Amino acid sequence: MNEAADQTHSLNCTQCGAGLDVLGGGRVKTHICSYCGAELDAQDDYKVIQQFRDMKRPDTPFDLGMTGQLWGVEFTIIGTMAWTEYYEDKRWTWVDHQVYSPTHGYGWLTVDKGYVTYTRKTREIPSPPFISNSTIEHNESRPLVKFQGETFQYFSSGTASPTFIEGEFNYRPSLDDSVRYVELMGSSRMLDIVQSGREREYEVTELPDQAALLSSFGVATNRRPRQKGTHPLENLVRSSLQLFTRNVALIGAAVAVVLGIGLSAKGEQIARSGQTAVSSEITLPFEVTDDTGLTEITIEANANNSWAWFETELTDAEDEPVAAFERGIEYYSGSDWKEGSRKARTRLTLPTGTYTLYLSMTEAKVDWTGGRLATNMSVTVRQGVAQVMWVFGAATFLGLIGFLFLGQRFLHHQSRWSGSDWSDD
Amino acid sequence: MITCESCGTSSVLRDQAFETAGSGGEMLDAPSLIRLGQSIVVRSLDLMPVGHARFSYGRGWWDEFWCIDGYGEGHWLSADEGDYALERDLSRDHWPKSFRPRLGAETEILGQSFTISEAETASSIAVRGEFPEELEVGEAHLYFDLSGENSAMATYEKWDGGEAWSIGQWVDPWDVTLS
Repeated sequence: MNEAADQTHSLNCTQCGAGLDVLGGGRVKTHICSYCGAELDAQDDYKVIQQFRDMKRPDTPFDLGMTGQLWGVEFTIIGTMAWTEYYEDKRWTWVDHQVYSPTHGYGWLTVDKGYVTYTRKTREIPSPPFISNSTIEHNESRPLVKFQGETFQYFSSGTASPTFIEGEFNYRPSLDDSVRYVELMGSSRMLDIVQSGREREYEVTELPDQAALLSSFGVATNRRPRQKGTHPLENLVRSSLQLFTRNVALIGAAVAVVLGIGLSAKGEQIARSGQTAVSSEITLPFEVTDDTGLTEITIEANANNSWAWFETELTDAEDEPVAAFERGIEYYSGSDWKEGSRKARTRLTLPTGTYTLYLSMTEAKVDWTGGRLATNMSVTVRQGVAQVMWVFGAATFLGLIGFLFLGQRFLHHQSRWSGSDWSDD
Repeated sequence: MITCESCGTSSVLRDQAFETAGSGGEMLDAPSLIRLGQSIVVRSLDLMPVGHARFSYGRGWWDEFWCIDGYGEGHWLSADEGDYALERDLSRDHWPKSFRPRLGAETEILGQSFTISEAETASSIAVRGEFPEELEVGEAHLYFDLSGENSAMATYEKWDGGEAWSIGQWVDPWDVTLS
């Protein structure tokens, strides 16, 4: 707690005389003047430690002195640090703001790619406690660490340096600092292993509700950062209606498949011809006693790497034609493949009664290497067969809806990890 | 020791009788997660703060709370700008044998390695409630905080006429909640 702060709330820069607000607590170590860039020793009468010059002010929605709430705890922005990282021809920039709460201490609000995260130091040490460059370069899979019972996967690493420093800090920052970090991702938070000189620290980062945070800190609408891409900690949050729709679709698809398979087995064989030479005609009388389902006529022939064409006629008890249809059979195969079928099915709605089926092959041709024309044919008649096409159609439709949701989650997952510098190669 | 919350007078229990020990100092109101008489949960341990001492280090202060758990055991819970530590007194038998009080020095306590990470001189500026020992307002205490692995910490405290060791753990402020 800052006794001096409670009493004075401000001081004059001992370098340039500018008025500076004292916003942090008693553990603040340095205060960098917003006007002249002098770094003042907050623990020793604000003596000038060093002078920072030519610092370019970063673009950020936060100013020193802004207060707002994070998960119900009030924090004040007390410092600003802009960072730059270079790798090959790429450059990344972000802005850290040191925040202070009398009850929850010091932390950071980081503005990166339009997202604002909250980071705080942790005294717990992960296992393993460090991931070296060599491990990152030579591991075949993402390095992992265990922390507070959770597994964190390697996300990225790099070395960054500050380009702008202003305000109060609970340590002594410098433009000459160079910080190496290894960032790992857990389910809803990130763990950073930060090494500066001989000091190694561990930090936990969380993504607060963005709208609530910006609103709480009083960030004007026109200063709100524009978000780029998906933040690694951004969870895909579905409304209860979306969850209901997804669950209904997936469960409905599964039920329809089971129902379809069950209904497919329904039916009773009522007539079957013997194997007949394709040069002859099959005459097969049968009686339909159950008209609650369809009557299924299945033609079968032993075509091999060839096709055959069949004509069928169906007459009733008075020998009046009831139906006539043509069906083809084609079947091709190789050592590790096959295509087509030796069966052709037709389903009809027939009232109860006596019928006669006439079947003959009208044409056949070998059109594949090693093919053989069909020599025998047969026909089977089943009654009470269920029409399952609509059931499988419904299963396909519902399954598609369910998989769209799953696909969305997959794409979101890919997007979350897109900022990672890990390569499986 | 007990300090009256209304008049701030401290009394010490000696030989089954209370003796006046002086003033408890002025306890300025400040934001805090911990209040006397308001039970809290620290890492699933239910605690009742019954004593509150404030120590000044010049530029600021920190608070020490004497808390009683459900078994009647006492714990020290310190709160210093978001740094919380829960400690218990270390019996003299377990005090480190060769301890050199300077920053960076290492020592072993109960088989665990500790390094001195912080040293500070502070004086108590206010006390309220009950304590297991006598705390005199204005008395200077020399503190050494020692850090071990996985949030382990210990404190060596020295003042005119006494010294003490305590051992415990750093506590995340987000793990301190009202019960």
